[in-house]
Amino acid sequence: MSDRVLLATFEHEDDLLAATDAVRRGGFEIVDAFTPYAVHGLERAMGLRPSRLTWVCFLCGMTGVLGMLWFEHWTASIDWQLDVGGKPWNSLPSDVPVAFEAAVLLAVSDPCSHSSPSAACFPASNHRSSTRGSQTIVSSL
Amino acid sequence: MSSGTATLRPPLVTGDKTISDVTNDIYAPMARKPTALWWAAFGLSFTALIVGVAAVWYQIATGIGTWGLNKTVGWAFDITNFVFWVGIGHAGTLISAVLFLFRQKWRTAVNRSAEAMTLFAVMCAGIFPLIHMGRPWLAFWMMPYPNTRGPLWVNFKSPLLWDVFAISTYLAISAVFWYVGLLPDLATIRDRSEPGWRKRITSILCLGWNGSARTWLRYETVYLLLAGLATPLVFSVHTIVSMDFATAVIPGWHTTIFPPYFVAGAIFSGLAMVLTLMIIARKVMQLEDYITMTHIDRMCKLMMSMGCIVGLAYGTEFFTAFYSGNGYEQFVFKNRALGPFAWAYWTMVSCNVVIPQLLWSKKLRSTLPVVFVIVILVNVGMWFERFVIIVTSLHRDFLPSSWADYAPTWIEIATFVGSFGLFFTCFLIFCRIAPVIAIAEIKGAAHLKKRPSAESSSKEKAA
Repeated sequence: MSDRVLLATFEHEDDLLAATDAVRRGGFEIVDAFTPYAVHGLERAMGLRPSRLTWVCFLCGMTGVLGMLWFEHWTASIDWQLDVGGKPWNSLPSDVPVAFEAAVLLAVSDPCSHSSPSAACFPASNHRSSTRGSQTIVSSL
Repeated sequence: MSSGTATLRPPLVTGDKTISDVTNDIYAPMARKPTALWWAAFGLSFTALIVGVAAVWYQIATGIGTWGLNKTVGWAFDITNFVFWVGIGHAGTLISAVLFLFRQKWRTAVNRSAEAMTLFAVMCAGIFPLIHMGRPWLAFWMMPYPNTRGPLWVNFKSPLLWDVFAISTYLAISAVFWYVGLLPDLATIRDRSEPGWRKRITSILCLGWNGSARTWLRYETVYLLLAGLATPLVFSVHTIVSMDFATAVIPGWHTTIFPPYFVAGAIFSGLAMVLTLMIIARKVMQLEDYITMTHIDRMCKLMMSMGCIVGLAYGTEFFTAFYSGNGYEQFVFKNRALGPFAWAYWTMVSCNVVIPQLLWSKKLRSTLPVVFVIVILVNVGMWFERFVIIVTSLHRDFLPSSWADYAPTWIEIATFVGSFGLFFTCFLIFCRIAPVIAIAEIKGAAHLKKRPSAESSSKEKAA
């Protein structure tokens, strides 16, 4: 038996949300939904799991902060100690601004470099393809 | 229908627009040829830019001696302009990131151009620390890379170095935030444009955007993360800039009020610049239905609230100087109000504290020419604020025998004019090549119809 694919278009986002929800509850497989703008609640209606980018961002940020703090400590306390205004070699308060900026830089650059290319190269990575049963594509104009 | 309060709040988009109207209206200024007005504005800003480039070229080739600085007044126009432009940049990030976190849907009409303004303002700002170095060709020494001079590392204890990291990070994050936000709109432009260079470029730049719900999910996640990270950047970057002064020891600079004072002042001046640009853009590009009077009203209120904080800071500084009993600190404030630069001080106070109070009146907030004049004066006043802080504190500090005067040279003035030239040239080009309003965001926020109401009711009758 061949797969049947249903393509639907809607004029209102509420209809799209209701239909997507009904289709998911009915046990059909939703290939994807296309919208010209982000429709709130669509991911929930489609049953998509939340993106893991948040964790990537957090880990990169932590790496940035800890890495930069270590670097500042190493350059000022270990490698070449310079007396700057009588401040201690390892002056943690003065290390904070640069460490924070490095954290933000890393936290942003990694997820962004991964999210867009991965979406473009692997558009169906969050999608399990099934060869049996009917599949439904729901789309809105 | 979907939002019960939709009838209670003023509509985000007036004029009974449909979703496709949004795309058409915002794409229209990009599709048509540049108008004579655009060419005139571009000619003016480009001329200013060339003047600036010539001045900077001459200054780098000849030396910092071409400026009016001396041993006493070591910073003047250079750092004033730097702080001025960075401050302007912060309002863009506030509108894009902070208002997003506060779920203020009205930001969608102005956030794209505000974020573009930030990008160009930070570019203008970054020029000044670069050219104020004695040897700008060695600027890369500011970066901590393994070198053959020891290796000699940068001084992480110095706010001047914190600035390097802060401004670089701010420029990078603003660019990324702006670009990621642009992706769906670039796809719209790709789909809408005729075959040609615009279609080809946007096809590449939109990274294969297809409007899939999975892509939207990732996009929204990244957007939220970027907004969440850009928000502390607004506060941290200008705090670090204020530390350039606060960590020094001279009276008038060495005060803990500087971080919140500078951040509030930055948002104040930046919102004034956003309003300047938006008042012109909405008229010239016929976008009054999207950047409505409600938007102008809300931005005026935000600007005023920041202006009140700045005014409070002026009073607090003055009171702290008096209450401290420190003769040097008290002298700085007497000198500001009554000394050789009193004209700058009183310009600052009248433009930043007195004149914006007019905006308490709803009637005046709704009168565009009045708002326009006020925001220009706010920008003038905020430039003078940085000038007053820097020059009046430097030119007469502890030792009277070191006291000196300062006057800018033509090179400094030309460089300043050139920075405006760069800013407006970039912004005018932006208006031509990118959608000035965030198309996808405003569609999502405004709850628009797909078809005009008359047509849909007649269709229902037919069925």
